[in-house]
Amino acid sequence: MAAAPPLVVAPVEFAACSLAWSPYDERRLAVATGANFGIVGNGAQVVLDVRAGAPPPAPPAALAPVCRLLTNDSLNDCAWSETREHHLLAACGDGSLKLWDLELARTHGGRPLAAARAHDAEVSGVDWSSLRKDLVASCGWDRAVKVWAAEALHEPIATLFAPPHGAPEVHDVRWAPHAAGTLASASGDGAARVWALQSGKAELVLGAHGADVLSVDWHKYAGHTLATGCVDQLIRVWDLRRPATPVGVLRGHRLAVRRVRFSPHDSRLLLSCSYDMSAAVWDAAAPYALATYAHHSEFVTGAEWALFTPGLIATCSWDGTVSLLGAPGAPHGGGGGAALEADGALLALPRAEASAPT
Amino acid sequence: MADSASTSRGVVRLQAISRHLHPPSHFASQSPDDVVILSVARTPIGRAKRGAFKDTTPDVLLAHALRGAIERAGVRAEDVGDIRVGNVLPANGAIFARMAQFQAGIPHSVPLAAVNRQCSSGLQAVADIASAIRAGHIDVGIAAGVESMSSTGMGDAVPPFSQEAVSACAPAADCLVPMGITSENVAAKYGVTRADQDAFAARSHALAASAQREGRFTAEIVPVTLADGTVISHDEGIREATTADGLARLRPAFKEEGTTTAGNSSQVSDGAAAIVLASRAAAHRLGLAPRIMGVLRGYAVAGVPPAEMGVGPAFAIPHALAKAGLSQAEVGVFEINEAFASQALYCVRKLGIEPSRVNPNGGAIALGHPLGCTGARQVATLLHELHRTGERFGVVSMCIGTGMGAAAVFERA
Repeated sequence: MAAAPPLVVAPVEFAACSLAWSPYDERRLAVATGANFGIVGNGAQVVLDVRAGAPPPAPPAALAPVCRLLTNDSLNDCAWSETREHHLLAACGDGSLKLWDLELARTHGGRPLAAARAHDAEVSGVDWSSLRKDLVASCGWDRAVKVWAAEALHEPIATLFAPPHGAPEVHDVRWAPHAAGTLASASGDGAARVWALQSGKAELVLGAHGADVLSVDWHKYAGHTLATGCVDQLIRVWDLRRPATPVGVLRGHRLAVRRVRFSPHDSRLLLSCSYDMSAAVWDAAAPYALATYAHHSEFVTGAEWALFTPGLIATCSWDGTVSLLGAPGAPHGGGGGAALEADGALLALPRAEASAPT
Repeated sequence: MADSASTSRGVVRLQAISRHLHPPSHFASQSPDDVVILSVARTPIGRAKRGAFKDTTPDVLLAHALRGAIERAGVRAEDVGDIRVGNVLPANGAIFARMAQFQAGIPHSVPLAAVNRQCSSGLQAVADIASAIRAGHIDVGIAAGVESMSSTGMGDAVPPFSQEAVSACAPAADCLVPMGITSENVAAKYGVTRADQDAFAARSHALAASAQREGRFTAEIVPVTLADGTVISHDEGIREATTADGLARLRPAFKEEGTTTAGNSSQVSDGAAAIVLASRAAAHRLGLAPRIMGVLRGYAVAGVPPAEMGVGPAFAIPHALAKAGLSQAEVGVFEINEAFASQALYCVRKLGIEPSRVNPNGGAIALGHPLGCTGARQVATLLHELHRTGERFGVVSMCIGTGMGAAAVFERA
């Protein structure tokens, strides 16, 4: 198994809890952070730009700060607006959602455009629907998954409650990329759930975990496939047509799996990160990791595929850094020269050493 | 300075992180009714009629295993509610087993019975003791298995029966098919080639050899002191130099055009193993909770045609997993008895088990197959492997003469 070094590592001061790539700007990354490992103290919403070498498309050379917006409690997650390039929604440890207009915030002392008391406890996750671009979803440690109109955060459109027994934490919420109004959540009662916004009910409960499910994600090409990451160290792959037991179990992480994310570009690939201080790329149909990344020195809390550059990955960690990585077997050249072949692409993955120009 | 609301949020966050780092058992709650394993102990496995135990009787082997299991569990012998001993070949194994109990220092107040479900007897003993614990008949019990194939051979095993009635009943007659021929039947019917069988057998020796070299069996083995004072502490059947090419030169053992040889079949052996089980409640009451090694999560026996008895695990494993509510993908280690390479390989392929998870320390082809002992020996090996690798779930399974398969699911504590 390849253990690949990072392409770029950049500090973000506080412990990083999650990150998100902009759907508008291929270089732009948002990072949710919190002081003192996000346990007590301020939070900060950090925005970074990937600087590439010249001429484009070129490999990432640096991560440059764009802005840093302080909050009074740690930030657990963030999501970019699907309709406004500079809008960013953050999940705050004090139970609030904060919506920033980054352009305005720069000139208004970092004040958010809107701030709403959203949950009765920690807001742990947010996701912006790419199909119903007016909707956002949040989840919290109050057992609730809530859906909001992005323009009106004062009152949720729907509040979806997980059953009242077991741990109260909902850890992750993700809109289905193929079906508007369908969401998946992952929670501390050992289950992942698929929700239909229309009925307000859990259509499916994926229950064969037995311990906190920290993350869930939809396959981007097969609408019936989900992955979950659990504190029992296992990643499970589910087929919603046969929900009784997982169709695949990916083992290798030595502690809780914090996040799982299917690749938007390669239908085989799944990205994960863990409390074991590593991130890994998997072929979701094979039992062992294709690559692991072990450069972080604390819990790895966020791992996301770049939306415009196939095979480019960003991870973040409690060690206070964000890093950029290249996935193995990236499309467009097997790990080398993985630029998106669109006009104006700025970023590319470096060529694999074997094919490096001499 | 943090205000009180943010301080209490901090406490909640710390508690959540702590729980994520120390997750609870897969099963929503640890039930006081759980049947837990407190200790495992086995003798080294000797080569029958030629090896270290050729002159050692089964009572002596069993006594060593019983004493080792009790000492390791930290349980007082008088707290044991019952002993069940798996044993296959002798006509009345229950007698020497009771003798072994006394030799091990377990008082007469502790009862004992023998059980014979052929090659699964050692595992059936575990299931019997677990059943008695679950039923509330006992709180603590010992499941054991023993076979001295030096003392009693395979040929001595068949009692009298009606030739006439049996020959008129095809499946009854199939119970007389020699085990080697059942292996040939499986190989022929399901297309397991000689080359595949030999490769599987060589793998068993290679894995067992490296396990032995690295001392992986040390924790499960209780050394045996022979009458002359010699101490035996290593398995004898493992041949590190075995290669598939070497095995390919052996002649078929059961049928002229056959594929089953002495090299790709299990070895004829002597050995004993014992396991102390208890309800979780009793383990806590007796102050033995720190000794808990694992939990029995499911058990099933499936019947299959006697003439192809080797397919048993392919039927028993899915049953046992269903009983435990687990999918096969969640099982990290499979101990599938290698009665014959043909049938073990068939079962692995039929179930689509990742080969690297099967018998990671070798199996009966290298270690030997003392019939009544094997199931208990596999449990001992499995539990230590689960602790060594950190895998959570493991399965023990074997085929059973006269057409069955048994399988049990264990969770590491």
